Amino acid sequence: MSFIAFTDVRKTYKMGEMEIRAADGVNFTVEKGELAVILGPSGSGKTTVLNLLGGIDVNDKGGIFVDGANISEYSRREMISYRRKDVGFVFQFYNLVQNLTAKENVELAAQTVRDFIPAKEILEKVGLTERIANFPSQLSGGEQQRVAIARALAKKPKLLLCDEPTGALDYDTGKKILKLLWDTCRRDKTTIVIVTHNSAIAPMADRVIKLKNSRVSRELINQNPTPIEEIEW
Amino acid sequence: MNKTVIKNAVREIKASFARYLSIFAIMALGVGFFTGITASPDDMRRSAENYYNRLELSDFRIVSTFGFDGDDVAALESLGYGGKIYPSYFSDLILQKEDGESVVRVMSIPDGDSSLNKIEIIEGRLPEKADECMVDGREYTDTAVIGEEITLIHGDSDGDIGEFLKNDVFTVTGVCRTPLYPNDDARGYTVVGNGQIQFAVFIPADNFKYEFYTEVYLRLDELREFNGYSDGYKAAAERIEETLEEAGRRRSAERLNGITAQAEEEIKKAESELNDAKEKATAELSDAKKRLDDAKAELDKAKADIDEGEATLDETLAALLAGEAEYERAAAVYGEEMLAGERAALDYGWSEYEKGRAALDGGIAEYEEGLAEYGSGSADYEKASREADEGFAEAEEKINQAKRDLADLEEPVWYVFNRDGYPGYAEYGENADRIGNIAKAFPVFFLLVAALVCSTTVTRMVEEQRIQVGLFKALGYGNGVIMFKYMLYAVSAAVLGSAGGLLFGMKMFPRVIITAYQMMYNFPDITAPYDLSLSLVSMFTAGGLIAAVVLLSIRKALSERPASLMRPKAPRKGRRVFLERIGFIWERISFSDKVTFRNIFRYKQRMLMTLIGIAGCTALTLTGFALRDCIGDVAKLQFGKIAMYSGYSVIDPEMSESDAEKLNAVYDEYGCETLYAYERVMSCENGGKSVELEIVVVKDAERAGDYFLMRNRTSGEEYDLSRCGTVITEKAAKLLGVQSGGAAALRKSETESVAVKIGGVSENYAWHYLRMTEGVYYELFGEEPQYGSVFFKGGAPEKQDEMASRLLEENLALSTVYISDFAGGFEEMINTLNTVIVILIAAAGALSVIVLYNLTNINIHERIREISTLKVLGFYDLEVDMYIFRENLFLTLLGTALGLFSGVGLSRYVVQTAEVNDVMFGRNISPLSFVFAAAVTTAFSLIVSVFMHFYLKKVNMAESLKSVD
Repeated sequence: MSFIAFTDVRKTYKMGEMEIRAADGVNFTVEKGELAVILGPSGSGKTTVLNLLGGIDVNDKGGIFVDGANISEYSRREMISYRRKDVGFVFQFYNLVQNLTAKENVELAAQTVRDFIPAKEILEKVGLTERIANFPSQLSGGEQQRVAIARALAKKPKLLLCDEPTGALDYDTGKKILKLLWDTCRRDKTTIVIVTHNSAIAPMADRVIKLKNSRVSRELINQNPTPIEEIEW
Repeated sequence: MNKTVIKNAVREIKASFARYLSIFAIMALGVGFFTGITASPDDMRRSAENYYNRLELSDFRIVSTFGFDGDDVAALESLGYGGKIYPSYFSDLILQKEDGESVVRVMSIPDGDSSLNKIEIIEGRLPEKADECMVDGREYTDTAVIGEEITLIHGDSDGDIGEFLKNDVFTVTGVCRTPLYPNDDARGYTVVGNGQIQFAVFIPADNFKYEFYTEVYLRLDELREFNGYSDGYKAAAERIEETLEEAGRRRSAERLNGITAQAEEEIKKAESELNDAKEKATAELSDAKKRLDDAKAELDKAKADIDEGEATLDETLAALLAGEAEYERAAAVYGEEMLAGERAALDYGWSEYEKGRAALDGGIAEYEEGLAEYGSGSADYEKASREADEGFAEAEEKINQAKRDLADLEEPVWYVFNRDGYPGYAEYGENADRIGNIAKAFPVFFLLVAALVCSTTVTRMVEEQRIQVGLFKALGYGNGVIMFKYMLYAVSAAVLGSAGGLLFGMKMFPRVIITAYQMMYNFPDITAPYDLSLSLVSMFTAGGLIAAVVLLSIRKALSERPASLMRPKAPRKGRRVFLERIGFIWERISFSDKVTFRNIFRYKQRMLMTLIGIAGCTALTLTGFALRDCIGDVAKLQFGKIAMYSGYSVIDPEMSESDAEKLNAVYDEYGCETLYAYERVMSCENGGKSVELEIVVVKDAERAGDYFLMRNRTSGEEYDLSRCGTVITEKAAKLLGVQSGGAAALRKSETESVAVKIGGVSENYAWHYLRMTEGVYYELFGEEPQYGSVFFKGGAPEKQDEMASRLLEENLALSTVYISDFAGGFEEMINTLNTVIVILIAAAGALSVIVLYNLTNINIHERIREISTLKVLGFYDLEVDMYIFRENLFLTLLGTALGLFSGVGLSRYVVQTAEVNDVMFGRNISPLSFVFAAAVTTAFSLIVSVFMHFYLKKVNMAESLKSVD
């Protein structure tokens, strides 16, 4: 069985009197160690898919399998444990705790698990040795996103989920971040799922899942991903 | 301003109804509490006044040493005050029933329109027959059954109840209340029994045998415009009281003249009657004497006759004997036959003689009888004459006594009592004042905390609505229109909240407080109307305050450009806190505590608000508990520590030597030591301030310290009265502003005062005293003190009643009171205050819950992204809770500590303002109160945490992390 498998996943939100089908029978798989990109225009349900995969939202129907377990059947507490131990999250707007320094933000996540990478080491890895004692407000967007990635990786997650990681960054910085993610995937064999509307990123992925109207419209496997450096958009 | 703007404003209220409600609730609580407590003392007075008016409580009661006759009543009527004058009867007697005796005041039933102090039936019915009665007081109902038979007896065991009453056995037909005794436990004092009236008994008026009315009640129209507890009433009543006393003096002189004239006439009449009787008796006696003399003369004559008869008989006998001898001789010569004629003559002679003898004997017997009769007649006469003399002497003595009595007769005295002289009346006013004093400090503070928290909420709202403000600006709306929405929102919430609060508070708080006092005061009425001016003032103040807050917080936003407003406000920057500079401490603090510290200092304004809120609530709670401690201490300290005697008697200072000895013998018998003193109430002045205090001149100054603790509260110095001469009590010294070694003036008369040197200031809690030695008193006033008070200590407690009634019965003391009696009454009064304190604490607690809830809520909203991030990072519920609550916990601890600290100051202030002049509350807050206050705040903080736990659990991470809107 695949490392990640969505089988006919459905999710409906109620917005007042309107019902929004954010996931309308989503099916896809991702293998262990792959870098997958979920691609789709806004409103296609890609963030919902990521939230369901990351355990910060619960589907109505269907199965979501991660590493053999069906997380859609998890209890509230199991779900928290899943987020705590198995998933790392990176957001478009970083979501760093403003009141903590770079190092402390990483520690905040690291202290929740037993087996973690020390903050200093992981920050070094993402290239932030110099700035570990700075507060988020003293860091640039790219630097903040690096801290966010470091925070996600410090827990040694089975799965790294990124929601528009470059959405708030300029071109060069965005590239550097993607490079960091790609390197991490290759070096540490971490499975990474990136959600984006930017189709230009797709060539760097091992697997591309295209969403349209809350369904998977296409699933592509890239035998030879293009290195980031060569991608332009 | 267009429709859409208004629509938008109204929608905003709907959309964020929870916040609207929180402003509403805080304002409601603050204003409700403020107006409720502020209105309470007036409502207390008003409720009492309504009751008094309904039952027509008299303004004055006059009693006189001679009673009142129709002319007295007419004289009062002629003073020209409109209103009612109601003469009536009363008598203090002993009530006997199966299970014991009570001292009671027997009064005539107020009946008809002309009567005053009407009674209200609680149970049963009014008496209809002459041998039926009603009793007053709930206390009595506990022991008496309606239908029970009672007997009234004279206070003196050898006195005759028939002097006062026609009937002395009554059947109880009901229980009533009388406005004369508003307090269940205070019925006043008397000279009967143990001196304490226990309840009143009402009987039909025609049951009294008095020739004169024993009391007159007046209720005057002129005083009806005032509430009986107001200063206006007091001033007007004082004026009228003087007029009444003046009328009393006038009438007394007239009464005395009338009585003297009448008595003189009676004496004259008695004298003339006596003289007549004397004359008549003399005549009768001389008559008798004459009759006796006549009898004597007759007897004497009879005696002479008898003597004569005797002589004649003797002669006859001698002749007969001579005849017999002749006959014998002749018979021997001539023979008897020859002498037959002579013999017959002799025999005839003998028989005549025998007859004469018998007649004489009869005469003698008659004479003797007559003599005996005469003897007893003359003895009778002697006796009658002696008796008459004695009787006249006695009658003369009586007349003389009456003459002397008349000469000694003093003018009658009228005693005019205003309502302060009614037992329990003034005390209720003092209680209202006390609540009024608490209302001065406590609720204002409360309102301030509420307003502060409200302002935080409004500030936060404006901050959240930056984008909308920007949008309206971009659309070209003016500042006024934009502000309108927030004004409408906040001001309407505040004004509606105030209105809701005062609608509730002005009814509820007075009601609860008055109900509490009804445990002691037996009137059933509660009058708590809405005070319009207070309502309007509070609503305007609340609305104005909030409007100002809106103005302040929106001013900054309005000055920004629309574009910058519509950009999300950058989250607050993280910053290092000062503690991080102190490396050795910072390194030792756990990671999560570091976060807590940073966050606390990150939101300084909210931290400050939380601190103030929690500290305020703790301080308020502590003040509540402290009030209880300090007021409770009054009785405990005054009667347990300061007064070391067990009671005191009031005696006649001019009592005879032998009575004085007897008095001391009684004390000895019951094992009591005594201290004689002279007490006198006087006005003491210093620097324009004046205090009524009691001068206590102690006969035996060296021993004064065994009866009154005379010690300085702060320095602990004990005073020896004989050495320092005078010792004043603490509160009086404070009110007068004098210190040990200083001087104050004692007002001798309206025109004259003397300076007294203060030798010491001693701890004391109830009433004011200036204790001094005989020497000092003499120096000041040039006269010897009249020792009319005896303080005693020791003796068995179970013998108290016995000793008190013995002293009264034997006419040794006018009254005897044990401190244990009034200590109990005091305690009860304090218990009612507990209810007030519970209200204060409950209100403070409610405030702290709302404050904490509101601030925590704002905290969570402001940091919703941070919280969601934590949840995404896989923090368990409890870990998320702790992340937020560690701050609350820290602030609660710090705020509580701060509150306890500042609460000491606040309670000191409130305790001092709550004091009435005659009392000093305790000054020590029990350690337990600190514990309670801290516990209450912490408990409320925990309750809020529990609420927030569920709120945090529901926070939707996906929603709040979506993106920045």
